[in-house]
Amino acid sequence: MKTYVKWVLPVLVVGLLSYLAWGVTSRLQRKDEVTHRTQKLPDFKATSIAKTLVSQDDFQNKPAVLLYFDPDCEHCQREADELRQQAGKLTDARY
Amino acid sequence: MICLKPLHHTQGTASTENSWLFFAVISAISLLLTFAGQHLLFSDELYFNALAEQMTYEQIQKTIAQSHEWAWLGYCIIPIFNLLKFILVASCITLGYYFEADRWVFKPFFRVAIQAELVLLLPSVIKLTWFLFVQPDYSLQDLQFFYPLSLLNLVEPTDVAPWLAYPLQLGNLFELAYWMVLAYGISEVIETPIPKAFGLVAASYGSGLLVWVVFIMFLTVNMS
Repeated sequence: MKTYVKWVLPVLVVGLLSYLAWGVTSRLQRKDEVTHRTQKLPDFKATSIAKTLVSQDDFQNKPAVLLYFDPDCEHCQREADELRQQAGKLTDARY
Repeated sequence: MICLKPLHHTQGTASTENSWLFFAVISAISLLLTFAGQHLLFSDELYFNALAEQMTYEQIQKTIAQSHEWAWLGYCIIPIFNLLKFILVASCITLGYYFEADRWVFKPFFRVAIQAELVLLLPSVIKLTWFLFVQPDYSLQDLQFFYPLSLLNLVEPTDVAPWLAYPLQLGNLFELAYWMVLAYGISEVIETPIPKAFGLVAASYGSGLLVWVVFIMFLTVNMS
């Protein structure tokens, strides 16, 4: 019994640690992949408020700022207004 | 200074009573510090400032009302959390000592774990004093990331990945002092030199802490 405990416990601890460490690293790796993938805008087509067609070609490798929000949301409206006031600071970007 | 009696004096009923008395005192101090922190540091204005950009006025009001309503639960959890912590720390050391000396000893280690906890209450006292007297102008984020004499102070807290914040916060001088007090207590209990007792603390409590830290990192990474 005594020797049994002395073997099983360290094995359990090391096993648990390895599983958790694997969980942490694999999840971080997946997050990195997602960050890398979302650096570039995928192909898309959408209709703007002015009823014109907007697609990825309109941005032509320029940095783009996409504001995605619910127009009925009160604090989103406030945030959008604050962002609009600061928009001039990003001269190269398309909105 | 904390007074620790050798093992042969500590296995009676008096020592058990002492342990529970110490437990009650530590829990009372923790409760008092939490209560003081909640009432002196956290104000409704602080929540409004921190959450104004994410929520509407009504939503913030609702959140604050809910947190006031459930505050009692937070206070109830403190003694239970403390008890669990002491049992876990004492169990780690018990196992470590069993591995080393083939003897099961729990109660004296439980008492040492309770007494050593006094060291870990100091950061809360410093936090309270700091934000009340030294830096009275603070934000919710300042309160969240404040941990005196820790590795987190060496980096900009907002630049650190969330999963790294906990281990960096845990690497602090109070934790080192806690290990030393544990080692001193254990050396008195099992009558062994302090460096050897420190080795026992590092191998037993240290392993337990490592599993705990990695577990918290695992949870943080998977939830954020």
